[in-house]
Amino acid sequence: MRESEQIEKDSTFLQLFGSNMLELITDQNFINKPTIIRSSPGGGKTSLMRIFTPSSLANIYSNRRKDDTFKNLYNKLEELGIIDENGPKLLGVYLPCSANYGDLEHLSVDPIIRQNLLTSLLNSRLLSTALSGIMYLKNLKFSDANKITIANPNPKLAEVQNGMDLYQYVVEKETSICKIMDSFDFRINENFKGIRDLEFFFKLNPKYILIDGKQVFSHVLVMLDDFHLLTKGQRQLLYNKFQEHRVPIPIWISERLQAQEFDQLLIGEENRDVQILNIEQFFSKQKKKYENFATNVAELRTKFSPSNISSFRQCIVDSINSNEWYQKFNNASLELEKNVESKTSGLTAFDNWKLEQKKNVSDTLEKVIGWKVLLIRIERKSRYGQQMLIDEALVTQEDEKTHNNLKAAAEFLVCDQYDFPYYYGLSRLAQLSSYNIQQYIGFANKLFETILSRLILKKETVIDPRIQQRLLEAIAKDYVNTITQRIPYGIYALNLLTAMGRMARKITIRDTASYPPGITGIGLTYRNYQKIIHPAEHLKERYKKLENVLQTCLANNYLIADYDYRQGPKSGESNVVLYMNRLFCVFFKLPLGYGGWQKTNPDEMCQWMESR
Amino acid sequence: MVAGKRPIQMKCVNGWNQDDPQVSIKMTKSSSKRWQQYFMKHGTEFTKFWKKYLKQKRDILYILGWGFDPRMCVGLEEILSARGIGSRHCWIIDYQEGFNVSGIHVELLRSNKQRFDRLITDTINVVEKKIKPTLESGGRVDISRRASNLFSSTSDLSSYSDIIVDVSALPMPIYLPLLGKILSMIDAQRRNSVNNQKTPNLHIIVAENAYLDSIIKREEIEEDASYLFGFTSDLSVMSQSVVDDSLKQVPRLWIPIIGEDKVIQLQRISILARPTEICPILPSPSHDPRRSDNLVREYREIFSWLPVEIKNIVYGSEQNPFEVYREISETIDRYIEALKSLGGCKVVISPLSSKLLSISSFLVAYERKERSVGISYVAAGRYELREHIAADLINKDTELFSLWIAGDCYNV
Repeated sequence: MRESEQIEKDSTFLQLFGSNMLELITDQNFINKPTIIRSSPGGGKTSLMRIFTPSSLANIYSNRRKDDTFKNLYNKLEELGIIDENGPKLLGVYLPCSANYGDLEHLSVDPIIRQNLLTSLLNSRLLSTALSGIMYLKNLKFSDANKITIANPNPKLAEVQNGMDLYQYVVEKETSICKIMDSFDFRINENFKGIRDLEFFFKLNPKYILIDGKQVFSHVLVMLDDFHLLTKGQRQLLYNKFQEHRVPIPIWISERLQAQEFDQLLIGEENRDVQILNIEQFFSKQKKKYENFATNVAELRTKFSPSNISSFRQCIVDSINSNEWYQKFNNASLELEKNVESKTSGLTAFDNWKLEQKKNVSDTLEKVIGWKVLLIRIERKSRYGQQMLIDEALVTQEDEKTHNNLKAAAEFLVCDQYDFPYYYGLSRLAQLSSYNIQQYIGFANKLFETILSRLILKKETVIDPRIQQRLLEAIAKDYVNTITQRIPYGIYALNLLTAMGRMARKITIRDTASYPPGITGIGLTYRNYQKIIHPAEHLKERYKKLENVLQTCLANNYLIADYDYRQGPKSGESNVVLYMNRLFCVFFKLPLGYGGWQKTNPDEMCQWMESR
Repeated sequence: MVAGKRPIQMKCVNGWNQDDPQVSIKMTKSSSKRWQQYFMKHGTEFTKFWKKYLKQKRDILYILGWGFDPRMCVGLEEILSARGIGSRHCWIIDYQEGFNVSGIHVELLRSNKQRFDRLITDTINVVEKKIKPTLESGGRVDISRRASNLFSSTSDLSSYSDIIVDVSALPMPIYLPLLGKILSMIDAQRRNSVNNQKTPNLHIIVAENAYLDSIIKREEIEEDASYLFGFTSDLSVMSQSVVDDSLKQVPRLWIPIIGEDKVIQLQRISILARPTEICPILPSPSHDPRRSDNLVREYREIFSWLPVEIKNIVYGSEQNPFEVYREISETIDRYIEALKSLGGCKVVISPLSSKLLSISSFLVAYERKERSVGISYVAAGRYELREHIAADLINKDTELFSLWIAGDCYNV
């Protein structure tokens, strides 16, 4: 269950790729306007780009009739117009920015030379990768490279060069720059001739790529992966150039959220000149789609494993309504009923509610939840002492959403109170990953290992909710304990999240379930948020640290931002809400639903951040 | 694909007379490796060697880091107590701004500095060198470049007969590029020297303390691995090579030198290295005979999904970087030979064990800088000492190693 970057073979990668991910892409992403793909680490950016590389496309094409996985991929790509019965029509040029671009910024040379080195490296790598791709897709030997011509009618770039000359030219350029950069004795030759601007991006217009004089591709797509690894200055320079020069081919830029400024991370970003695709945000708005996607990925990986397990889904028990639990549910129901009776003793106001609840004679979790809902309602009413005194029949006037939230809160509270498993089943597994597919694969992998061990021990391979919960709790513990190793300002992030988790737990388990389904985040008014961004002089140092900690948590999906929430009266101030990653919810024993949050302010957050 | 482990006959240093530091190591003519024969002293031999060595006039530049590591001054104390004649210069490198320092470390830094100040007398010329990196993307690469820039030209070396780099309290992204720069300058000076003009000797001092190493935890590990400045070789070149009239990626061999508690680093470097083959180096012989087994157990999960074959595991002495250097060199040679038809291979070495063994990566990568061998690493933003350790215990359990890398003993 490794990351896409670690799967070397294309055929393996494609068999494990969840084709639902392609739903993020529309034909709008192939127009001449940059698309920025963002997510936290492990969101799936690299996998998405890898699908469009020449070797993946060729592989999908040649296996298009092999099985459903390839058929699905082929059909989706065909819909996008980049592949057909004659083969791939798109030349994807994938360029990771993980190489040494960032290092250029630290050379003690004139900034113009630094820019020149950057564009030279980028142009060289672009063209060498494009030429390799052309040769791969068109089955050309290197000695056939002179059949390729990359022409351009632009007067500045009028020269027609054949593929072989171009390849040798750019390889020599790239190698010499890399050598200069790694030298202990850095010196740049005064006669060094770089490749300025985005010269070669213009050469890659599909109209100008010819083999034996004929156009061979309908689309060229440039994909710049890990763009966040460039320095801020380099990123800005390239964004400006892409926009200024109106490059005639689509460019996809993938970057981690860490590349964004803190304010953009919190309130989002609008830019008419680029299309922004935030993977986690996309899925957070389409929860069912994400659940299907994640489960599909686990299924594909299970099928691919050399074991006899053919389905992940079938090994994950999705319910606790089984014989084993009925007695426990019955006992819990009786206890809660007794509680209800004692709290409403001498009052008739609750009779209708009780009557309704007593109609449920089953021994299911539903029944236990029903009694808990009733108990919460009674607790809430009892807060308004006067209403309790007026002994009139109460009518339930809740809309569906409120009722569902109350049920969700009740489910969590009874599981917590009676030690019933809560973190189990495919739907909650998907929720637990906070819309990050790598996080999902991480714990799906642990569950799968357990399934395999059971197979070896000749035990039943289905794992019941209790085992699932135990495993997920161990994963959550490891996730929380390694935060200090994994991210900058880790210790402060851990302090902050721990304080948030404790506060959330304290409020969530209250009898009134005031914020159903439970508190799992904090809210910051825009005024307070502005205080962090533009702090008063005496608070600068303190708030800068808080800003850094929040930024690193947001960039790494430890916190998830939601915008413009109001609490209290409708006219109340807007808030930015920061939810904890759902694995923290497991660690602090909290429900998984979104919606419940507690207002806070920068000073309180600073206190949390510094407290051990 | 290729069996990595092959018992190698240890050809130990002593082509020279231990009691006479003036005698050069005799290089065997058949040897193609620069440090096939080497000079290393440790434990009581360390003290004996330096006492004897410093009886002659030596103009020494001693470079050390100002860090929280309690071993910071152990080597310097030993060298200064050997007295001797000649000038004494000391560079203390302050790199703390590149790292997040917590309360306990401020205390340790202060006490290390006090200890250092107590050692310094009027006859020692101390210069503080500050390395302040930018912390943006690639910022820690910047640390390495700045470290190597502490020397700007060969004339910086001319006043010294011996340069000692004490790596005990320096982080790897600083000491390896610094060593690379000094050695490349010495080599350049030697190549260009007229009338056999003398070049300085280069020594590395490492204070080894396994227990201390085990309680230093790396925190805030960077999300992405990178190649070390000066040791990137052509690993960052992305263009494919022409093999059999086709464009192909040359296979990549990854040689991680394995130490405890580096799961995250291994995962992250594997993404950068994209290895075709992996030859992990495990410590054996080792003080703890079970150490290799324990390491295999610790990395069981990661080794199960990385292309690690049991037969590819290479064993190297935990206390002898020259031997590990030789093991790595021979492994690389065997792979290059076996993969010749695929265009040879590019090699990524990752020092993930002790500082002493990191020197072996330095030796291999320096020697093969022009031959597709580089060093990768993942920087940590913070180091945490998990428990307090008394100063007297540190001295008692710490073993000093002296490695003579270039100079008189190698001149034949």
